[in-house]
Amino acid sequence: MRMPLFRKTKRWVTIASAMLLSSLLLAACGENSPSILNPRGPVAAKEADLFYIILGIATFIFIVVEGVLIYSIFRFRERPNSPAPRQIHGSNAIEIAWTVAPSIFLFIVLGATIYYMFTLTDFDTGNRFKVNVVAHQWWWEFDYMNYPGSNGHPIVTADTMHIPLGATIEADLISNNVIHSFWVPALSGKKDVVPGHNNQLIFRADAVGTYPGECVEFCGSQHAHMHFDVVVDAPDAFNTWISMQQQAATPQNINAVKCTTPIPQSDLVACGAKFFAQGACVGCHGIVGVDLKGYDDPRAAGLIGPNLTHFGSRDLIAGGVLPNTPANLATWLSNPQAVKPGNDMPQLGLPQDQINALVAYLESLK
Amino acid sequence: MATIVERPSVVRRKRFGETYIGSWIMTTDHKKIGIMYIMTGFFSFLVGGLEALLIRTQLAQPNGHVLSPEVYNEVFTMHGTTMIFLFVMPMLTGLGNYIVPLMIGARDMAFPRINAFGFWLVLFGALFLNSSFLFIGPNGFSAAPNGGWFYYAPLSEQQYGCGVAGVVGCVNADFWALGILLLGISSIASGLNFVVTILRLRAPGMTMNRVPLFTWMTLITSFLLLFALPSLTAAAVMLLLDRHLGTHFFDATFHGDPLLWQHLFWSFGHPEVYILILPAFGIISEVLPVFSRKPIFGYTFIAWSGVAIGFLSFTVWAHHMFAVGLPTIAQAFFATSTTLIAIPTAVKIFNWIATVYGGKVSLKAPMLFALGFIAMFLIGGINGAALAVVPFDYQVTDTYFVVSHLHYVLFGGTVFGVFAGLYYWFPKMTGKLLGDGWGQVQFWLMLIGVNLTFFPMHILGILGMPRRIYTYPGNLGYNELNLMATVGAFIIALSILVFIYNVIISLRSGKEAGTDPWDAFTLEWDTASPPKVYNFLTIPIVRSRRPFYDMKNPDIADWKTATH
Amino acid sequence: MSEEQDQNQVSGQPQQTPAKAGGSKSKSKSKSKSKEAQEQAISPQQSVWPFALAFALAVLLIGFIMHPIVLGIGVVLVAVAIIGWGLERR
Repeated sequence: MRMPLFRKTKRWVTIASAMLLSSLLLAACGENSPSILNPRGPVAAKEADLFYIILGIATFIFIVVEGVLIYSIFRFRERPNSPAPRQIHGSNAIEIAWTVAPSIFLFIVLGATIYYMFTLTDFDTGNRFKVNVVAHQWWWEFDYMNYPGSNGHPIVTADTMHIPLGATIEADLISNNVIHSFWVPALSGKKDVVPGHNNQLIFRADAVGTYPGECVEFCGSQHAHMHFDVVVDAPDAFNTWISMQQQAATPQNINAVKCTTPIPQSDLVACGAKFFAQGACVGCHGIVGVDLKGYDDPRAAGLIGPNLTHFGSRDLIAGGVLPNTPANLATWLSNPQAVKPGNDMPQLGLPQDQINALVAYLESLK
Repeated sequence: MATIVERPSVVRRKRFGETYIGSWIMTTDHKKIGIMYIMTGFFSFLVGGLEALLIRTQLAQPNGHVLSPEVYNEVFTMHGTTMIFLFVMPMLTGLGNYIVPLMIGARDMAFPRINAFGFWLVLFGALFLNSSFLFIGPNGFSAAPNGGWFYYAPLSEQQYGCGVAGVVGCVNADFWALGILLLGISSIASGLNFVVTILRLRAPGMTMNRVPLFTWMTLITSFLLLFALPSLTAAAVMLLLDRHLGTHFFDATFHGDPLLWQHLFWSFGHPEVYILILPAFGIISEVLPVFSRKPIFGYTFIAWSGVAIGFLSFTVWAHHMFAVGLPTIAQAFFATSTTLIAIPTAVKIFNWIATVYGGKVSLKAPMLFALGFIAMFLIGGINGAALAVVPFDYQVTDTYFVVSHLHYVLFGGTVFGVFAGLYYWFPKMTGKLLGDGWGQVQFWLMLIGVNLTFFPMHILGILGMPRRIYTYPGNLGYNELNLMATVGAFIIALSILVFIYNVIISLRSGKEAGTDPWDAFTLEWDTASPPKVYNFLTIPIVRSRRPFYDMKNPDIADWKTATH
Repeated sequence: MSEEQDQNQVSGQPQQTPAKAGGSKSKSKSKSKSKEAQEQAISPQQSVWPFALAFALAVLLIGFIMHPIVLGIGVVLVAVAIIGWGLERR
């Protein structure tokens, strides 16, 4: 009996390939996705190559084995007059054949795997740009300890990690709370941030751009909201960024302004500085030049919130949950628990004009 | 021929053991215990399934507000814990309990009271774990376990497990650890019982070389239970000590090591996944031959592959830890051992297909599920082998790619195997056939549902979606695939409703099964349906791997035509 | 007569030599007892101790979560159950 459309095995092959192809297309459709198939560095590129090799092998095995299965079902389906089948118990020769052949094949794949494992960071010249990546619940802190011109003073920032194009990056992964995992799919596979361990991730970025990153080890209630991004700057842009970050915040004349409602537009930034310095904020946050003498001020060690010194220059806020816009910042300040329930920033009950002033001030910290 | 005169019994009150409830509470009969395990397992399947539907409903759309993050974290933790410890393990133990003694021609398990003990522990463990939803902790949320089914430290120790800094007195992780301890005792007891039963209570003539493959796989699984559970029990005790008695096994602040938890857990966890699949391999190895009308192809190789998998399962554990920062050479070792374990698994798949090939294939419900098992488990095996390619794993571990893998092997594999076993042995246990028409409906719905739910997750992982997140932003390309997965989950739920309906109407008015509805090959079919309390009036003598086939076909009996 | 009837009930298909070969010895002793007694002799006996010990262990573990008193009760129950199990005549 002939099947209407395709003959039996061909139909399944068509369906299988269609599924696989459409998955590839769908994968490519995720242009905004932190996809592993948009590599922008050598590590991610090798890992993406491996995916394509695996995909090819998997498709082949799938089609062949499922094909034989489906063929067997159809070809040997019981029919009214089919005789009792031969009672075959096995065949040593066949068993050996189909044990040895896959074994050889699997060991070739294993060889390639191990080769890739040991050559993944071949590009590492030893001349590395180091960043301390500190994982908190639930935000990412980035400390630059040894950048050109540092004179022993670090730069501390959060949520957005700038790195220079083409340099070998050594991310030292630090946590003093629970296990997290640092993952920027466009640049490299992940590595867990384990308390008590000195894990490092070595990678390099070969294209300027902004790449999303996420925490990818369950770390508590807001694990889903622990994003960050990596901004890859050309060398000049990176040096500019470094010099800006090195500077303390511009002092505001907080004593000369009157900050009662309604706050005049011209005083908004200064009032924001005043509310910050004299309010609850300094209990958890540090700004160099306001409540910190430098990034390595001993007072900083006791602050549980991110350093806000150049807050205005960051892409993301609140542990990567929101893009850094005045509207989002205002939402965050008015109700951090609604945005990210369970995080460490308490409900402050700030009146709207204080929020507006703070937003103006914080966004001015470029 | 003497006539038997029954003396009338003295009229008296029923003893507790003679009442209906009492007969279940005090039973040591492997068949009744098997039924209770199966019922408890199936009920837990529904509970875990509801938890899955909650998860999928929350994730159907970006920025979902169906569940708060705290509740979501409890739901996904309990989904995993319930499905593994309260559904699959009891269900497979139940099927094994019912069928293995019958298959080997025994009257019962070697230790009938320990058998019952193992079951009641599962029931109380299930009640205990689920009761955690009713305790309200100091953070205002329930005390259900919320740290993932593998409960990594130090999250499990942080602030007494609430996962929220500053809140003291949460007992979520305590519920989990104590429940695991209770269930672990049950598993060890049942493992012991199966090992002794299978090694010592076989019918005369049934050498290990003639034992049905379901029994072989149950034996290997039982050894795995005996050697793997202690690792988990030790880890759970250490966790409790850290949380309550001031030890610091997993606390880096005091020179403990969070990775110690992972090593201990996965030393249990990896053999555990073989515990979850091997009995299903055994069920398939029983169903395929009967519905192909020929013997299993390569019995020896399948049995020895099972043994190889059993041993190797203890050497691969750190493939769950490729991203934690182990030395590269250590990772290479585990990549190697994981590659090795793929070989016996592949051999089994080939043997199963060879059993079907050249046969006379009857596509009744048990066979559909068995064939579906092969098709789905193959996918799980392929994406599992992909995960063994370590640098690729660095990208996709901890993402939805892994969720896809584990569900293809556990649902596409084990659950399909369980349904094959249920459709196959239901007539033996109840005397009625499960409706085949509804079985076909259930099968196709389930096959479509499983693929629609879990195939898109491969892509989600590749697109960067992490595991265990309670929501995701709407601009990352995850929306349609998640919605697809949710639709698939509800289709699976529908298929389960079909199954429940099928069971109810079949019990009421299903076709009478007789003792041997499938013209099967093994000894459990040589009994009444359901079997008498004593199983066999006379213990049969076995001369081949298919003793019942031999009895029915004396001229072409296996012991005449094959040498084993 | 009852012996053959039982065999036909137990095995649906007619079978000859293999089943009967092991049969004759075990039946001769028990002809005088009732059928119920025969079945009881070769079935495992009921026991309440597995249920009791499982329940006791559950109480013990709940005691860890709840109150030390419950823990104490649990310990006692476990001891009783273990002793009862051990002393049961089988």
